[in-house]
Amino acid sequence: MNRSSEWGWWGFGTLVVVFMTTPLILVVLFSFGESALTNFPMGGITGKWYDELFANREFWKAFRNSLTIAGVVVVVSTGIGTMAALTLARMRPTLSQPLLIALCLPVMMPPLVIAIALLVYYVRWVGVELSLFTVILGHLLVTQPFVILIVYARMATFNYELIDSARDLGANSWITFLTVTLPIIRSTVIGAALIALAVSLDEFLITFFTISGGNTLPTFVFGKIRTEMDPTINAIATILLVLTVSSTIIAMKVSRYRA
Amino acid sequence: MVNDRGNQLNQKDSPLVRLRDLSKSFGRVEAVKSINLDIKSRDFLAILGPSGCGKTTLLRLIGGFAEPSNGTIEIGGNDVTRLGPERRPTNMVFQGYGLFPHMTVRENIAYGLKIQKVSQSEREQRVDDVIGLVRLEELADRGTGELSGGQQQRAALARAIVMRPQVLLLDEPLAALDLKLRQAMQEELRRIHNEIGGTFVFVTHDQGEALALSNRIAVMDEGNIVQEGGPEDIYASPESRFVSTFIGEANILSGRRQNSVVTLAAGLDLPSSSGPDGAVILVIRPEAVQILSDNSQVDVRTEGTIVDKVYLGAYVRFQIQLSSDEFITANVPTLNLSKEYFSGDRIAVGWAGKDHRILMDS
Ligand SMILES: Nc1ncnc2c1ncn2[C@@H]1O[C@H](COP(=O)(O)OP(=O)(O)O)[C@@H](O)[C@H]1O
Ligand SMILES: [Mg+2]
Repeated sequence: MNRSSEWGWWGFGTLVVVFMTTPLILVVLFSFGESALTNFPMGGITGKWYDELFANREFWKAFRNSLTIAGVVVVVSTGIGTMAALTLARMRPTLSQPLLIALCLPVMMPPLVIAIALLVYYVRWVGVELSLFTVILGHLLVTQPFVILIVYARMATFNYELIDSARDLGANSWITFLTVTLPIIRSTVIGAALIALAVSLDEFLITFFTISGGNTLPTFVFGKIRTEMDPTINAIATILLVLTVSSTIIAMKVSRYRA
Repeated sequence: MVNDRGNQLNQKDSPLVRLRDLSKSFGRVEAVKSINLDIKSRDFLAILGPSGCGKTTLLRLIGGFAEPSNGTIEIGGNDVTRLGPERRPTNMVFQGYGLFPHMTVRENIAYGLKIQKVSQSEREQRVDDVIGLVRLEELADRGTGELSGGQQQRAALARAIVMRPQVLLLDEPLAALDLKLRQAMQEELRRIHNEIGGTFVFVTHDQGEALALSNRIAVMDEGNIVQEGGPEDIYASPESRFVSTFIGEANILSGRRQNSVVTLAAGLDLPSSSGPDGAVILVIRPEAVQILSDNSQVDVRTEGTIVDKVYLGAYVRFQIQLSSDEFITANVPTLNLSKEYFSGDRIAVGWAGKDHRILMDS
């Protein structure tokens, strides 16, 4: 590649990065700005939007709901997803491939379709009350495939002689899982859990359709946008950004180093 | 190794391991076909055969890692056919060693004893003992990733023998090592077998290794055990063309037997050979073939032309073409050569009748 085209690629890459990160930077910036208009000039630096947000009881309710949902979703989807991936990885490909596709169908479908389908299913067919529980089920539907795919991919390079060795030395399959399989794939499992966390924390559509009363952080923001568009939503967005980005970064770090 | 459970073996000569009609199919592939085999206590048995003949599958059946399609496995008088590996008195050294990467050498070796809930003091004692036995004292607290191939091999061996199995199974234990290390490990394995006096079953495709290490060899071909016996028996008395060429080098000459007389294509008759009429082969080892001076007396004698000659120090290797256009190889000790021979020379070759074997050609 010659000099000028190399510069061209650099320039193009920089532009893409700037285009994608500018909105994020602006959100963070305005969350600390004096101006109430989300506009330049933003005035001096202040923490007042955060103060205002933290004084809002609705915010704390939404925050607690988000954490509750995410907590349950992470534990359940990581547990079940890991078990499913380990089982799939030991199957013949002719069996595991169709199963894998079926299990991962939810991530290939538009979230809006899933949201509507779930709503109809819950209300018309099962007749359950919409609640955090129904939201959790919906989140599981979209986080589960990530966990399964990530752990399944890890198992492609897993040395099954290690499992045979553990069995040979007297471990039953549960002890083998706890003392050999899990410690070895631990970083991958943590990575998958953190990705499930990030997905659940900022999931909007399914939550919005299946929560009935109450809010999570994303639906709280949405409500605010419709009523009063004040800079506290920048503060929420910044908090969500920090949560999801940091969990994703930890996920990538952890799974890069040992896997 | 047997001291713990030796009392189960009080009937002296009954085999420790008994395989009866053992078979294993993977879909349409019959990896192991109806094998019967007895392994005696303290045997160092080699399962020898070419790649893909079913050796690993047979070993995994004995260890409990695969369920047989048919047949039974008895160890120490108990039927273990349906038991998983964690419940068999066997331990295995895997082809890839299977060392746990998240544990040190010492933790690897202690793993099985921990699961058996052996007390800490006994555990430490036994682990230290085997670490000494395989000479890994200096590396005991390293991670397994820091070990060379030979050291990993010894760690895997230690991890298995610390369990004092009634039968130690080894899958191609030396195949991944380079030649020098392989020879050193052969000695090491022999020494360890002598010191702990256990029963070892190892799989190999290397006939030299089988001859060097074992006191019994079971030769496998296409899922069957085609011959079993001591190394000398197998080398001296192969029962088939396959065994004769797979273990050591052999010349094969074709012929026919009729009314107890074998007529070779190379144009000589061998009388008083008992057996059914039909196509036969004569098997003769290259080191048994002599180049004859005119007056020498041997049981079998024919003529040929030297087509190739390679000087190999201790002996000279001749390729000789017989009248049947078959070739025969003779490895003649350099000291026995009374004169110099050249390619193209016509010579007489022969051997003692006790040195060849006549087998039905299958
Ligand atoms: N898990 C398996 N699934 C299907 N086929 C297998 C499996 N293990 C072994 N085989 C087949 O069984 C035959 C014997 O294999 P193996 O016992 O590994 O031979 P060896 O150890 O003598 O090289 C081969 O044809 C192999 O492809
Ligand atoms: Mg093999």
